[in-house]
Amino acid sequence: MELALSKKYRAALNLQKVVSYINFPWFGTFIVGLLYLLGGYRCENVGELRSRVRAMLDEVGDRPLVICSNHLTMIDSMLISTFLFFYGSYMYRFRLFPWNVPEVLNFGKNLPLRIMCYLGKCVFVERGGTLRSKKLTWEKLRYLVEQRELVCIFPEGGRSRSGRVEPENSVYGVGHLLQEVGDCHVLCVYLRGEGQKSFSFFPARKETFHVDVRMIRPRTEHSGRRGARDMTLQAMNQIKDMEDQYLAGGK
Amino acid sequence: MTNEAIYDNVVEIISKHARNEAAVSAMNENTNILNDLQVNSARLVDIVLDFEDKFDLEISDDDADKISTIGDAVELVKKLLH
Repeated sequence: MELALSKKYRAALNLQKVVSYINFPWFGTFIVGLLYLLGGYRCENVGELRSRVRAMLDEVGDRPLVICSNHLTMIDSMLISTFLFFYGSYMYRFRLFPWNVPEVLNFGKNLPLRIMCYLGKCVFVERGGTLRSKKLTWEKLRYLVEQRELVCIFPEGGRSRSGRVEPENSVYGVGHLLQEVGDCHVLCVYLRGEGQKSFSFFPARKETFHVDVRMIRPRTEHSGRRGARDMTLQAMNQIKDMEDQYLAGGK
Repeated sequence: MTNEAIYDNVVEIISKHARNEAAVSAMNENTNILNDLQVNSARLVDIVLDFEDKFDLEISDDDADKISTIGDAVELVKKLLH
């Protein structure tokens, strides 16, 4: 299939990947240090979680994969990267260090943040931006997924204002991406701090996180917009179901 | 289907997805769906799919992209039905 993304952007993404990899030893340590030491964040049963994720990845093999997660705080993507895999393992499987899609107004407003996003494998999206800018972002993500890079997307588009997963508020870009890439699996992630009642900027300090994961291969008999919605909702319904199970457990 | 019935159905479908309830009550053909009713682009997709289901028609991406006001939506449905 012909790539929609121009050579210039492909080269820029490949360069970003190399620069990020070269800097990962100090950058990864810095981020993990911030999360564990400054934030005091922990994940319950992290060893078991990582084993499950590894087994799921083994089953998917070399097929394209996207992470879809619920979204409650501004550092969810960092927490996901840190909890799902031991950060040292990224040095020999750097494609698994997920690309993220932060909003440019939140994360691109000053140089230090921009550098952090660059090294943290981020592709900016412009909320309320032009059709052209959104299309470019999705073309970049498609290119990355086709290169077997792991991309982390929040289908709700922003932090859930109700504090609960809301499939009906999803945006369908991820469904379009899945349609375009084909044979793409989705690692559905549910992440929630035990004391997290609603959305917030940061989680509370010393928060312990519950993380659940499921692997799906969305399929649809529909094409176009309807197919994109169908595939997005399949992922979102899994995340919602994980939330329901978690909350039913008295959390 | 009469033009009046088309208008009523279009308004009913769009109202379900509108966030600005004050604007919903004052809706007319010139009401901008995204700006006035604060419908986001993802919900606009839901609206187009609801049109397809309600009126049993197919709306192309190009046609859907041209929908900006209630009047645009009504005219598009009329055009595709007749």
